[in-house]
Amino acid sequence: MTVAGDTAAVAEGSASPEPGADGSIRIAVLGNPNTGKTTLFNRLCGLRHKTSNFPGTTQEARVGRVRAHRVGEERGDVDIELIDLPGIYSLELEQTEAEICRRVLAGQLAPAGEAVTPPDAVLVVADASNLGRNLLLVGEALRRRLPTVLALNMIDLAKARGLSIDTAELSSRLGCPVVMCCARSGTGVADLSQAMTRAMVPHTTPGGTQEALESWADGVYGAVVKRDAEADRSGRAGSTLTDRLDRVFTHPVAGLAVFGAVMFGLFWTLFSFANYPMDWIEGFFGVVGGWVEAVLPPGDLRDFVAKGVVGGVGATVVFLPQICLLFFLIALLEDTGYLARGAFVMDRVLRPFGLSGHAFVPLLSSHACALPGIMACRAIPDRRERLASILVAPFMSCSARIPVYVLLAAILFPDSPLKQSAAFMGCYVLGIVAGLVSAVIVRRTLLTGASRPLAMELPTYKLPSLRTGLLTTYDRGMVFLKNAGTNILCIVIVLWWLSAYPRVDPPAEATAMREQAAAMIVTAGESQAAHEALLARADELESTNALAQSFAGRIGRAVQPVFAPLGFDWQLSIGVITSFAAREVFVSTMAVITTGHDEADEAVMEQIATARRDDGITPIFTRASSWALLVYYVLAMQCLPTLAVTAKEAGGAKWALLQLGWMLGLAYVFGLIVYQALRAAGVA
Amino acid sequence: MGKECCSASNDGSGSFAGFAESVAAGAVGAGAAVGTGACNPASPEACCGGKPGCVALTALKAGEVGVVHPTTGLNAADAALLRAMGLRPNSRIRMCRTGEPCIVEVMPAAAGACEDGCCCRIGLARPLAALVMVDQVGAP
Repeated sequence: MTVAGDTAAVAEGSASPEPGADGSIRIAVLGNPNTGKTTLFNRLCGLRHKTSNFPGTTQEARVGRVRAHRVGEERGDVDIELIDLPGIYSLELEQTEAEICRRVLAGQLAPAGEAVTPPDAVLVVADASNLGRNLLLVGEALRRRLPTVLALNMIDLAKARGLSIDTAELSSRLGCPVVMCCARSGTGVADLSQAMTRAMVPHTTPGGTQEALESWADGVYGAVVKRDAEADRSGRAGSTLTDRLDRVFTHPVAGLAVFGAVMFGLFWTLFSFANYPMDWIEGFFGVVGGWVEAVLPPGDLRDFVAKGVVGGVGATVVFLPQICLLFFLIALLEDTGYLARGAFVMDRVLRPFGLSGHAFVPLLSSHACALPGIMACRAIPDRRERLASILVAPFMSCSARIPVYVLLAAILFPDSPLKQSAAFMGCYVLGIVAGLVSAVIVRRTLLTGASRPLAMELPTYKLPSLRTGLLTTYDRGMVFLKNAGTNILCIVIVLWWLSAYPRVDPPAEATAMREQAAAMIVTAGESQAAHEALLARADELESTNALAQSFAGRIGRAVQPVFAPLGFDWQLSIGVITSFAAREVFVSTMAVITTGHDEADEAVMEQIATARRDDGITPIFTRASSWALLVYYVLAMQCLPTLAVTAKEAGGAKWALLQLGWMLGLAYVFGLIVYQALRAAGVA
Repeated sequence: MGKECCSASNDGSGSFAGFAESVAAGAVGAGAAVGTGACNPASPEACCGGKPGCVALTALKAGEVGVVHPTTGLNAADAALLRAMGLRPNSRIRMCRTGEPCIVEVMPAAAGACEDGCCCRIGLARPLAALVMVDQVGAP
């Protein structure tokens, strides 16, 4: 690949960047969207990068390291630190992304944790097959008078379209090194890393007005780009196919159908394959917890490590398969060029609710788990639409709610699978309706402002890159573990502590049972079975008593009057309180309270359904209270890990608190209405 | 300027960062109302100074070619963004799909610009497309 720009005429009066105090050269990577900038960054840095934010914004910042070899008089290896800037069409636009780029180039902003100094050089990444438009940003970068290197990426596409670029002439006109490369295949990347050590301050820059810039770009383009006439015909054919695909994919009916099929395929894959690693992870941490319990002596330390720390880490890591698989699939889908078309299709549907088409995938993925769904909201460019999507994503019925739905649907319709299914589907519909209505309300109150009409460059259709998808998946996984994992771990440990302490003496009945079992003469057969049954029953009584007397249990009893209007007794209140950690905990908590078992198998579920309140007569789950509980769980925010991610992604705890308050308030009010209405109608 | 093919290309980043960049860079009207530009798009004649064949972009049929008129109904921020994306005055466009969204192929404006269909491809919400004025050239 050509590295033009080594001529003396170009280098005259220009200085290559020198390593800073830390021994590395800092280079900002700038470019239009869809130029392969991020692919090039990944190719140069691989896994040697970290992701953070630009301070004061929610814009992601990636910083990577490259080791490059200098040749010539200053031979030797040098470290290069690359800062991947947001893709922009122009540095002069009134956009957050453009402002971030301007400030970084001016030395006024840097990624979190990095020194706030001007970069030593700028690497401008341009699409070689679309050089005419890309030269505008190149010209704006040259005006900054920083040492510059131009990477002409996607050279394979340019050649396929019959374009040839005179890089020596281009380098001469720009006054900086120019390197042709293809980030997808890696071609020219080694030359590029070398060229970055010889970035040059341009000797000429375009005029200050937009017209002057455009005229300059047109002049440069005309001098350096030639096109093969034969390529015109193949170009036309390709364009016709793209037209046809676009007509289908953006059609109001066919487009929706295609989008629905694609999403169905995506989530079918997610649900089908994520469960296996999730089960392995749960099993692994179960084994680790068991090993800790076997190794450490009984006591507080053992319980803390086994149930608090190991349980907490397991509760965090178990989300990884879903998150990684979801982002991998979305990365592949985006790489094909289809997702941009899908965004336009869904934009029509979601616009009336104050959301953009880009909110569809995050909201849909929230049906698996709100955590990755909320993280996926980063793709929504408008701040208000992004915040609204984050706030309403947890309304989508996630997989954690399924055990609760299953339990309550079975209680409400014990002999009718059809009605159970209808109740199930009703829960999903209620969640979606509540989410969309909430979006309308929040966009008309807190997050007002006109919805932004969509204008987007539509990428070429092509086969996705597995390498890029895998790197993206790794990146997202690490971001989750770093940002959410620590919060989730802390939350789980706290909730474990609340459920496990204070330690209480076993109830007298359980003690009597153990004494009775100890006094039994155990032989094989019937007496052994009776012995084991006595001990098992003693265990159940102790577990039930321990939970009821724990801090969580006491809180449940204390708040029971608050939930009384919804028909919840103290046992249901404990279940609601403990399931603030995670919704699915409700079922195991009810199992422990009513039966002493924490594994909710079929027999235990039957016992839960028929368990009685303190009067010994009234079921815990009456019809009215069951309906109220179902509505409550559809609408309530009962997932502290989700709140932690909301606070992180929305840029502040106030958004998480708003989300918590709104959803809990809605759940309480509608649960109350349902319970009281059913009671008034004579439904027990 | 020689003939060219400017192709709207996916960078293959395959990441939300890449996708978000593309949309962030293209999302217009940061708080500003759509429209309120240099002319009233409801009367294209006023926008185009009575020039025959000057219409709103949405008036073009699929396959028709037009040249972006210098005067539009876009506000300054929207106009700046679309210009940076390639919809600059005197650039040739080909209507690929009408309706919602409106999809156009953009060819840079210059003498001798290519006439093939291999160009940048931009999707515009219809309210936005209705504010862009073009001089009709006719179907290729």
